Amino acid sequence: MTRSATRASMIGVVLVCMTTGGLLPDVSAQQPQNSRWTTYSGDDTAQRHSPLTQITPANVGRIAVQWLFQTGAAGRFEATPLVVDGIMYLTGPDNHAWALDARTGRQIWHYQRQLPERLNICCGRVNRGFAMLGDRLYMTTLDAHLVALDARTGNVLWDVEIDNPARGYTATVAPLIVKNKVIVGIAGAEYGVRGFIDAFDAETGKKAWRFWTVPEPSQPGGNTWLGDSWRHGGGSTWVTGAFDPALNLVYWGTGNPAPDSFGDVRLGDNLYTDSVVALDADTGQLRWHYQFTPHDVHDWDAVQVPILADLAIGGAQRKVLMTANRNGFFYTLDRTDGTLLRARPFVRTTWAQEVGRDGRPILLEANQIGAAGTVTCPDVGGGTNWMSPSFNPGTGLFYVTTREVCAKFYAFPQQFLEGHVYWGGAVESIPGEPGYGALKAIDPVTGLVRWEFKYPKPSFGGTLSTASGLVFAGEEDGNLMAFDAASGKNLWRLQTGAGLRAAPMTYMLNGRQYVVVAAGGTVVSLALPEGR
Amino acid sequence: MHKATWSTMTLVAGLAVCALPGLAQQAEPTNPFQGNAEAIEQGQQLFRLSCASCHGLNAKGLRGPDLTTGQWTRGGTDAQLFRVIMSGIAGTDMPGARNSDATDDQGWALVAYLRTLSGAASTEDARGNEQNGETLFWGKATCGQCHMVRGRGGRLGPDLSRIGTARSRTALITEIRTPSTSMTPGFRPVTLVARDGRRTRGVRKNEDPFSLQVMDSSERILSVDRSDLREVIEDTRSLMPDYGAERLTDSELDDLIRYLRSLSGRAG
Repeated sequence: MTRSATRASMIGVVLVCMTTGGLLPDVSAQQPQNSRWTTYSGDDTAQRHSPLTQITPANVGRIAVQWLFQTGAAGRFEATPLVVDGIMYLTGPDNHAWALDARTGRQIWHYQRQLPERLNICCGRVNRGFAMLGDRLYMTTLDAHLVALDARTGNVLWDVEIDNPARGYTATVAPLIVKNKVIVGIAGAEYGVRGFIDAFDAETGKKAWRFWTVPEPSQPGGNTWLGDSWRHGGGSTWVTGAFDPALNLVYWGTGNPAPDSFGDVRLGDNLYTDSVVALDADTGQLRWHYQFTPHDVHDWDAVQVPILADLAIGGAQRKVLMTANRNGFFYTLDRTDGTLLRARPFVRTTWAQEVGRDGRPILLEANQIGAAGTVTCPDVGGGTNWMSPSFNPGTGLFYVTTREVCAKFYAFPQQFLEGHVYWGGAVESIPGEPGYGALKAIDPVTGLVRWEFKYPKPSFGGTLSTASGLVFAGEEDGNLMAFDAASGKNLWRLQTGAGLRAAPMTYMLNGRQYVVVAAGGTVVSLALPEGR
Repeated sequence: MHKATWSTMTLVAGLAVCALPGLAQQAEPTNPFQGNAEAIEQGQQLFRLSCASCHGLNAKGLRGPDLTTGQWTRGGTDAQLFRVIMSGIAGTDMPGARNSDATDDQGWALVAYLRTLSGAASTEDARGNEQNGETLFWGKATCGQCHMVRGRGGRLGPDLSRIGTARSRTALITEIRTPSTSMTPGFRPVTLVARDGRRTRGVRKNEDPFSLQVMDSSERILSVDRSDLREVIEDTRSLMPDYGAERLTDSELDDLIRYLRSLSGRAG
């Protein structure tokens, strides 16, 4: 064994041991020697903005691959890894999960859930990552369970069913830790489930509360559904929300109503689908909601990550929630009460020209669909989708991967059958118009696009912002890229070899800043060359 | 849910099956849902979501073949249709539904639905003269300058050795009369304008935000950085000319299509 190898393996041992003892010591006043990434979007604000500044616009051109971890798992990675005390925790397709040495990429343990043969999954056997509290990891599963794993071994500590997978429920969301609770969402609107957001006790797995995203007829909002349509009304909750501890509110986006396209069976606004809901963190009680797409017929889930920040708007400091919606509009809301402050299209939108003063979209003819088909923009994939946006408080800009695509939408009557796809329509692409993508920087005060960088293809890669003034982003043709956060100038790129469907994250370890993203079935780790 | 995915998710059909001789002795599985009204309804929904974009909402064929004729190019037993739906057809645009999480039940539901569509055999394909069509292909119509069939011909356009199993007659008419309305990925035209103004025309094999991989009109493969170019013009006109009636009469078109429909990828 060479001297350097010995030293490296000793450091590894130290790191593993330190997981039992908490943080490694900081030796730099400027930047921590080590830092964590503890939740899907980086922190409770969901800004996906890191305070780390070792990698800068001036030196990012020199970052290079440090290690690759080939998971061997087939399928798409949409997960963001967590890093705590030198260990990386990652989930993958088919409920694979790994703990890796975050310095070397070497595996510490692997876990995979045994899944049933038959699952009702509309859109890929994906998972978006762990949540972590203390030495426990929490992961949702494709058969709609929540499992708690021991962080040091990957052993299952407890396992609870969120809801019945035979009825079309499934789960892909990365849970969110709020105080002593694990908050999870559900998927399955394409199978006509009734959506909800659940909270579980992090210690025991006992259900703490449930908020139904589709109310019963006797409840507020229940009159926005025709007849019994609420029973299969959709409104799933498959991307992680945000938390404001001062207001004690959990913010979470809700998905499309079901059936997706045939709206005549569910006449009405269909609350609280395609909305953001603000829930009391302790009780799950609804404090306010804002519905982006009333009576949606285009499958425009509003599950996109809501980002929290405090902004000066109109001379006043406002606590805001920002979101770029699948329907093609960017929204800035007051997160204390849901008041709409700004709404403006960030891609071509032919279904609504603007959002009125009453907060409702002013619809255009192209919003109507039927058996003859209607061309509408954006397409079913939306102006954006699950890919994580980010926000840099320094530049005041919101960074999001966008899609410029239109499609022809059809609606047909369809009977509900439990466990079967409940869509009531069809979508055709437009021949000769494949569309394109772009990374856009949006000013949340004005809603205007400040800069954009075009991609040849509509993309689904997430973004990461850093305090040094960088934005990292991935695109469909496999490039992981770094941009100047203020100007949008491309500063660096790496062809990873697979279209990026996940978002990058960053951490410090032993004084080095790493940027990590999952591309294809491979985890790619980047840093500046050692010793420079 | 995120149907970024549904648009790319392709549960299904395009029908042609490779009958595997070694399996012929085994009992072929039968459709557990044959004639089952619930499954047929479900199959229709799945078809609309995942097959219609290529085969058309009424299954009469767009880019993909007409599925209503009762004629299956490569075998029409339930088991053969199921296999094509679930596994796709290698070398064609027909993907396997299994790769998109489709269950066996969904595959059989699609077979059950397709069975309700099968009407009388189409007489459309009986039009024209195959041999005249082949002569036109290599001669007057100059198709072979850009398209290859079984190793003979050009490279600028798609290989047509099995086009007969991949395209309906209707789709072929559109693609011959007005090729710019249906350009195949990997063959979209592009004009590269160098910094000194020199122009190179070709087809895009691939691209990303920083580079292009292009086959030029001399069939050379070029790797070009966007930063080295003054402009990249994404042409809306295919390199293939419109074959209007002045180039190809209706009767000649019938002959040509009869020939193309005979191309199944098999030797011969």
